[in-house]
Amino acid sequence: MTIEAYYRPETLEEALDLSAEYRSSLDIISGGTIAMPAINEGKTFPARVMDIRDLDLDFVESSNGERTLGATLTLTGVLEKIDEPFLRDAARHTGGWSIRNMGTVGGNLFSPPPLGDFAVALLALDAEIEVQQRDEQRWISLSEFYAGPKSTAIEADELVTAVRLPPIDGDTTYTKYTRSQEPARAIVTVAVNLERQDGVVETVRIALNGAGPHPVRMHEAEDILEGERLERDAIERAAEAAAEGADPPEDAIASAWYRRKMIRHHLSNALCELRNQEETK
Amino acid sequence: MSGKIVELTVNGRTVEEIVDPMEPLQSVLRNKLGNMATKTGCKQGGCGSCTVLVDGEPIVSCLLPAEAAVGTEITTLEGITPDDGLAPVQEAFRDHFAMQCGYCTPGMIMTAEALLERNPDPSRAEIEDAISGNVCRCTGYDPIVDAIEAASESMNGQGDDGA
Repeated sequence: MTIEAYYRPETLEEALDLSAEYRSSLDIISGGTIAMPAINEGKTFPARVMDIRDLDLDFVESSNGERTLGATLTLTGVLEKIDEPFLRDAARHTGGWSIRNMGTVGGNLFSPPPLGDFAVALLALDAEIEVQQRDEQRWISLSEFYAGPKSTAIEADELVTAVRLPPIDGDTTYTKYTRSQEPARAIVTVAVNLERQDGVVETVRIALNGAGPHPVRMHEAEDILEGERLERDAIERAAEAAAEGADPPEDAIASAWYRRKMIRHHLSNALCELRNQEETK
Repeated sequence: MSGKIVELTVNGRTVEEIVDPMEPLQSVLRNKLGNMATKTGCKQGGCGSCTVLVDGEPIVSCLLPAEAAVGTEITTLEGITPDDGLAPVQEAFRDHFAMQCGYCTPGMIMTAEALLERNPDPSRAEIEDAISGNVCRCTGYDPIVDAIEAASESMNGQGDDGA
């Protein structure tokens, strides 16, 4: 079997025409760090591949605290163009230098578990993604985008073109736990964005990687914390709920059993860290 | 077969080669253009032994479709090696015994070149961070970090006392 064609469109129109024409027989790559290993290994043989790295989607736009990141912005691009510590942390922990030079913000959304250590931060920030097809453009929340194992809420003729982040309020923390020194696959990655009012949690978003088929929000744990102070009992109950609610992947790095233990441990640590931080107004 | 003739600029020379769709740059560099320093490693982007510079940025050439490198400047280890000897980083690797089997060495050196180009005086932590995507199963990394530190000193005109 051989791959019939490799397309490298230069305009979005051209790219959308190709995805309309070939739909699911067209694999899309931007940095290549997800698709190429599978092709090199002989695990996948896409009929056609479209490389969108030339589409000029490597931008960052900011207005009124809202940020929009183009889908083909590399993780190195994030580190060069964004000074927000939480996003930088996430980019910094996604692969080594050469992988960060290749891997993109849009591509990271499609990472198989337990990859996706940038996407998990986007999920904690309640990001929206821009999806385009030839005749239509729409925004969907990242939570909606993740539709289940190996499945996303976008159609075969649609392209993810950008990620939009609301202004970041309150406090954030990002922890990636690995077996060996990074770059390494995550056992679990914890990303939390939490807002407090006089010590009481008003809203919290807990996103975990290594806890499901894609980065997942832990709504039950969030519900436990909202309206509470960040004290030992609430933290322990939230961490326990997250561990119980998780459906961790199993691989050579960690068993599901171990990942569950580590979810409880590292989420509890992350929340303790926030407790010890001064509340940001 | 749907091979295609592409023009690649490798170490300052423009060459034409027939490449298959999604054929990795690594395979073209090593198997078709004879740049044997570009090793075939894991082909997963995990080991760094195929690291080359594309427009000065270190990338793992196993994950870059060769066609995507058209119009860029590709630099391999051959491209930084002077005709009559070794580059400072190569000298330092030799002097500090920063290799045993040598398989990771070209990738390590290309990453080190890119680091020293951006940061002529890196700390040990910065060196470790830069080469963290390059796997070495022999040396335990210390001699490699020593070598890159020494190369930075010699390139900045300070003597290397061999320490």
